[in-house]
Amino acid sequence: MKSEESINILVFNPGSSSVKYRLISMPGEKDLIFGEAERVGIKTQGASFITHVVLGEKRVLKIDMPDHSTAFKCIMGVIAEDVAKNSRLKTTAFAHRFVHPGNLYNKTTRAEDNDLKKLKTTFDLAPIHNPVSHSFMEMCRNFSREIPQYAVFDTAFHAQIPPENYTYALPAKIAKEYGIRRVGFHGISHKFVTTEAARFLKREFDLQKIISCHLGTGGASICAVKDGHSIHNTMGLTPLEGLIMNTRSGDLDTGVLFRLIANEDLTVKQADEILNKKSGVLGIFGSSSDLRDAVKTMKNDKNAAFAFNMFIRRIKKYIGFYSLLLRKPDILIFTDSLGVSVPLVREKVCEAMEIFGIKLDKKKNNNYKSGIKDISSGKSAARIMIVPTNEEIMIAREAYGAHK
Amino acid sequence: MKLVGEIGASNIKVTVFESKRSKEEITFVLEHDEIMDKKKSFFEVLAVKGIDPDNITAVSFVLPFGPEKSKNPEPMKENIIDKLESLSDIYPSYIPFAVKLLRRLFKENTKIPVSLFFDTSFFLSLPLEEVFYAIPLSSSEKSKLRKFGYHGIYHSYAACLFGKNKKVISLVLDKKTTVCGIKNNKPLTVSLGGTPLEGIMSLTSCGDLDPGAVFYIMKKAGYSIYKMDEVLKKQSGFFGVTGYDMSMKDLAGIYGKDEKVKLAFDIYRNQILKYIGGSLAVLSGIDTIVISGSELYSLEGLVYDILKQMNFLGIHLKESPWKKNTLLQKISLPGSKVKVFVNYKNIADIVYSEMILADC
Repeated sequence: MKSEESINILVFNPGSSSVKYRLISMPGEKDLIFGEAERVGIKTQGASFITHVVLGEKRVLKIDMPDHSTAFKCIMGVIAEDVAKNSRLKTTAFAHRFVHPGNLYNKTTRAEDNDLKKLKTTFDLAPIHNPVSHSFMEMCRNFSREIPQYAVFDTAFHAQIPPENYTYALPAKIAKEYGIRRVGFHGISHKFVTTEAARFLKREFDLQKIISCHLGTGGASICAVKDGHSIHNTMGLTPLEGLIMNTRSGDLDTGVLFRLIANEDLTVKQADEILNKKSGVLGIFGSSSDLRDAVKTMKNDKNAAFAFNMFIRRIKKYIGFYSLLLRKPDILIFTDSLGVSVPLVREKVCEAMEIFGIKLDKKKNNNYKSGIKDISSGKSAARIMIVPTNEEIMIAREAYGAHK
Repeated sequence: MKLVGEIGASNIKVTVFESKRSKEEITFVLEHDEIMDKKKSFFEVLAVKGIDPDNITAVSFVLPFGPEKSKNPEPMKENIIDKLESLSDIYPSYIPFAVKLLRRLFKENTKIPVSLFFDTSFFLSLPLEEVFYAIPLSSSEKSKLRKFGYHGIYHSYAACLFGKNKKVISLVLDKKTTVCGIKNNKPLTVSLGGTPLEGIMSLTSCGDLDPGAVFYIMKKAGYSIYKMDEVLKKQSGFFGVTGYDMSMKDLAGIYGKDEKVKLAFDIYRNQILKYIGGSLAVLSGIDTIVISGSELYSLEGLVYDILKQMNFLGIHLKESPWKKNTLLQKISLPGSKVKVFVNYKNIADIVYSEMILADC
C-alpha cells in the first residue's frame, strides 16, 4: 500500500454488554460511521438497540440482540445498507481492541487463523473481555477472508515496563510457569491521551514525563509514562490491582484476602466475585457503584463521603509514587468518564500536591466544557490536562500503522 | 537493672540494661522450651543466664500486636492478657505463645513491675480511610479486617524526635520493611498492618500482589489458601526472586555482581518508593525523614539511592558511608530543605528510654 492512500478501518471495541464500532478513514482520522449496540445479551426490561450515525446522520434501531453474534450481524447489516448507497463507505480493514493477550503479543498484529487459535488460550486472563473480542475476530474472518484484520492490544503500550516494575516478588519458578507479571491495562487509552497532550502542548512526546489517570465508571488505572512508553501501571496481571474502582477493590493485603476466605467460608470463585463485583465504591458506599452518585449524596451520606475519600486517597498515593519514579512529572492527565466529567475528582486529587509541582486552577477546572484543556495554575510546574479519551481512533492509528 | 523482652513467635529476645550506666549489658534469646520449663520459674530461667532476679527493678515486654485501644506502656494486668488472648484468631502465630508466657509470669511474679509495649498502639489514631480496605464494609466489620499498623515503636520514636507540627516519613528496615507518614506526631498512613503479607517484600514474603494474580495462581496450580499463604510468606521475597537463602547483609554484598540479586533489590527499592511517594501525597509535604531498623547497616547504599531519587524535593545528602558515632546521625547537609536522619537505636534501646521516661 502507498503511504498516502486513504483506507477505511472498521474498529470494533466490544464490552460485556455493548459494542462500540467506528468506520474511520485513515490517515485523515475522519469518522464515516460510528455507533454503539447497547444492552446486548442482558436480561433487562429495556430493549436492546443500536445508535448508528452515518456521515453525521443519526438513526436509532431497536433490534433484539440476545448475544454478541446477533449484534455483529445487525451492525454489519446496517453498514451494508450504507455501502449500497455510498461505495466510499466500504471497509478496507477490521481492527479490534483485545484486552489481554498474556505474553503472546506485545504489538499490534495482523490476525490470521493461527493467531486466532493462539488468542483463544488467553480467555482466563480477561474472562469478560477476551472471549467477546475473539468472537468478533472470528465473525469478521467468516464475514470476509479478503479483508485483513488487526488485533490491537491494551497491554502493548506497557510492553516496555522495566523488569523491576513488572516482576512480583514471587518464587521465580511460579512466575515463569504461570506467566505471572504486571502487564498493565488501558494501554490504548493511555497512549492516546499522552500523545494528544504532548501534541496539544507542542512538546516532544518522548521527552515528557507523564502521569495519566484513566478514571472510568468501570475500570480505572494510572500510568507512569517516560521516554514515550509506560514504565508502570497500577493494574497488574489482571485489572483487579491498583485503584479503587466501581465494584473492584484494587490493592488488597493478600493476608486479609485469605482471612476473608477463611472467616466467611468462601470458595476462591466466591472471593473473586466479591473482590471484582461487590467491592470498591459499591462495597463502601453500599447504595451504588457509580462514584458520581456518591458525589451527589456525600453531604448527607457518611458512607458516600467515605467511599469518595478512599477513592481519592488511593489515586493521590499512586501519583506520589509515580512522581518519585519519574522524578517529578511534566504533565498530569485526567481522562475517561470520571476524569473528564467530575471536576471534584480532579480538584481533590490535585489538592495540596504542590510538593510534586501540581497546582490546579480551580476556576479553569470548574468551567471545563469539552475537548482538550490545560487546567493548571500558572504556578504549577506540571501541566494538568483534561484529555477525553478516544480508544477507537487510537486502534485505527495502530491498525493503519501495521497495515502500511 | 531493667529488662526488655521482645516476644517473638516462639522465643524472647532479652536485653538487660544496667541502670547505673544506662547501658545495654547483655542480649540473649530464650527459646520456647527454656521459657516453658515446668521445673523452673521464669526468673529462675533468667538466673541460669546470670541475671540475679533481686537486681531486676522493672521488666518490659514488646509485642508486635496489641489489643484495641491499648496504650504504651500498659501495666501488665489480667484483663490486658485476656484481651490479648481474644486476638488469637487474628494473630495465631504470635498470640498463643505470648499469652501463655504472660499468664505464667503474672502468676509467678508479685513484686517486679511488668509493663507491656505494643507495636500497634501508635496507630490508634490512624484515619479510617487508611484503616479500611475497599471490600464490603459488612465483611470488614464482621471479620475485623482492618489495618492495625506495624513497627509502631520505631515509628513513634521517629515521630517524637522533632516535636509537633512536623511532617515526618519514617522508614524501618528490619525483618519487615515499613514506611509510615506522620503529621503532628500522629500516623496518617502506614505500609503494613492488616497482616504481615502487606506492603513491602521481605527476605521470604512477597509484599503487595495483584489479588487477581492470587486467584489465577490458585486456579492454575491448584493451591489451597494455606499452600498459597505459605508460598507467599515463606518462599517469596528475596528468596523467591533470587533462589538464594541468604541474609540481607550477604545479599547486599553481592548487589551488582548477580543479576537476580540486582533485580530483587530493584523491586524492593521501588516498593519502598511506592510507600514513600504515597506518604508524601498524604502528608502534602515533608520536613524530616528518619530511617531505622536492624538492616540499616547492611542497606546504606540502597538508602542512599532511594534518597537520591527524591532529590527534587530538596534533599541534599552527605556522601555515604555515613558516620556511626552517635545513635542518631544527621545525614542531610546543612542547606537541605528536608532533614534526614539515620537512627541506629534498636527496639530495646527505644523501649528502655521509654521505661526511664515513664518511670517504670
